[in-house]
Amino acid sequence: MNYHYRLNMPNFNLIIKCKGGIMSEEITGYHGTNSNNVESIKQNNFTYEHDTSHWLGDGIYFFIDGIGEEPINLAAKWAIAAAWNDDNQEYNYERCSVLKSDINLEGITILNLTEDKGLDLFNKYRRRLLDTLSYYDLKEEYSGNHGFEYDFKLLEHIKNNSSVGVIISHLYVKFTKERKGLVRSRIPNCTIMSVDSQENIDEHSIEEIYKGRVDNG
Amino acid sequence: MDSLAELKQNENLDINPDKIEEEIDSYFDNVSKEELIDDLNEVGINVKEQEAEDYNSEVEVYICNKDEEYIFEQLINSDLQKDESEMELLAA
Repeated sequence: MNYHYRLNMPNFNLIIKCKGGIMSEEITGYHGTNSNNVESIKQNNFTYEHDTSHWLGDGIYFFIDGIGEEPINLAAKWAIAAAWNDDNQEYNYERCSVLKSDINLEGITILNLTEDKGLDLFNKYRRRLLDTLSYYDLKEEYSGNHGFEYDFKLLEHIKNNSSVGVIISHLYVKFTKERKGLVRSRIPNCTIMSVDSQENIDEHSIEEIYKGRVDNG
Repeated sequence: MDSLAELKQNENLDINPDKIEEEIDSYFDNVSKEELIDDLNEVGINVKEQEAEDYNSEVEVYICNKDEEYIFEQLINSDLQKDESEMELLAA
């Protein structure tokens, strides 16, 4: 049984979602996608393909409520931006959707790069890697993640050699206006979560909560 | 949970646990250079094997005084010499 408690206190308004009286270990995530994918995702859950343009290594990506705008807005804006095919100068799809779903974090090792300790762990890994190799050369190929492929590959390497199953980070993501305006930045504008396995995503919780045209972006 | 703030407060979750650090140490303490290179290749990091002395083996170092006048110029042929000269640079 699910309970929702709302605590109303001066300057304090917090909703705690509980399951059977125990604090939930599920977090709500928002995923923007082509509307044509919605039914397939609802039936088969999220899947992912290897792609070095992924921000935090391969995984299923969600915007979560952290920094920046509301995550539902960010997911919609990302789906709109991702629809544009710059090579063909046209949209790959006409309608986009935002799917809301619950991600179960129970028993998963989380690398949280929004905390100093998470950044220290990442930097320790990178430092030990560089200390082990006297010289290395990253042959980087443009993938849409230009200049940041090394982060992608290091995080993949960390996941391959540790128990880490979820990575959370603040990130600078370029949406339509940032792309059109060539706005580059190192200052994060959103919080994202990368989930390694679809087993942690409750497919019954997947719900389409926004649908719109991509050419309104 | 609806937000990152709530997630951080949830003591039931395994967030940045010490075991990640132990796993990192365990991996690097036991991996050989060759195995590490193979592992990196698996995730697409191509490592070009080169001897250390081939990398920046010869560096021209200029040390300046406050008036930006060069006080000496030296060719460096080893990493050791390079490190020593870097210390001199820092001292200057």
